[in-house]
Amino acid sequence: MILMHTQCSICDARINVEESVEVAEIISCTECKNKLEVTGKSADTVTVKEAPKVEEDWGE
Amino acid sequence: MRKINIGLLHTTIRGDEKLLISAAQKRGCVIDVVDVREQIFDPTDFSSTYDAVLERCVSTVKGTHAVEFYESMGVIAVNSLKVSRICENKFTTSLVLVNHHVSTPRFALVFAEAQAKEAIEELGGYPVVIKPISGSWGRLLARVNDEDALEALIEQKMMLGGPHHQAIYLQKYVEKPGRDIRINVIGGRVVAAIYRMSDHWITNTARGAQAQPCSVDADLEKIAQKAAAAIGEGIFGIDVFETKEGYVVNEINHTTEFKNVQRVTGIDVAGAMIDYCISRAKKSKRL
Repeated sequence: MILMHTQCSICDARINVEESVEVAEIISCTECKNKLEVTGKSADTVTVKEAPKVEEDWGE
Repeated sequence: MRKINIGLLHTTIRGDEKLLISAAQKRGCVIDVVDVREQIFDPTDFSSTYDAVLERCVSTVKGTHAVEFYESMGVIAVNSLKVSRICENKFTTSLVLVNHHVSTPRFALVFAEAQAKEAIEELGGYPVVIKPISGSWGRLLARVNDEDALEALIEQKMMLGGPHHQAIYLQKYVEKPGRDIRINVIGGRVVAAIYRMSDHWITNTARGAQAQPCSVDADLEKIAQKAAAAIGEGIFGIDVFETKEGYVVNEINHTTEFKNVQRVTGIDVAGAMIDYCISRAKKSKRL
């Protein structure tokens, strides 16, 4: 499993992310536990922003 | 022969969508991941290379509008707008099931407290379940055990909720054996099923229920296929209760989450979904 890196947009912690991560996927910060949305992916880094909160029409 | 091109419409990528992407790639399809939040749905000069779009939006509002756009532009959408419109509203779904003689818990829709009390008497009394007409993952469900609770809940809905919360969907409470069944029907074929085990009366896996494999007997297969046929052609996650009188269909999901089903049964649900999209695309374009 190859790991990439990013910085939590909320607590600034450095986070390892699996290479298979997709843009728009929701991940969790291992430090502050907040949910983050992947916004971009390059050779060895990903960018993230705070994930949207669950909305009323979310589901299956 | 050219490759089938599928647009996967989404608002976030879950484990389910990653399974779908992988399944499409294994089948030699081109799969284009389309975040509908970034799109401009303008019909002027629209062009598309998609043979089909597979709607997987976690947001029902965004997903249904995206499907409406692509379908109106002549692109095959899975699921269709007709199916989405039925499944996104619990009252509509229940009416379709009743009209097609599919066993389902008794229900009623009211707009006010007095009518709610009268309807509950007609349903056989307390407890009843009050659900939002749209919504998922077992959120905002309430088991109402008595009139005091009913009055409080309706007052809160009327005061705090938006207009759609003033449509009060009541369902007769069904005693379950600590589980319900989620069964996946794809293109009219039963593909897989799980039990969702929980000590709580809400048995959604999103609310902590544990998934276990479920073998499908003839009666379960029959009611699942009948329910799917009532809604239309497509991909469904059907929630079924086991009762003394037999199986009853509770709800039908049109952007079904399936990774737990795939995990515990070992059945390639994602592959079956992609195969279905391919067959729909080929059928429509005679590829």
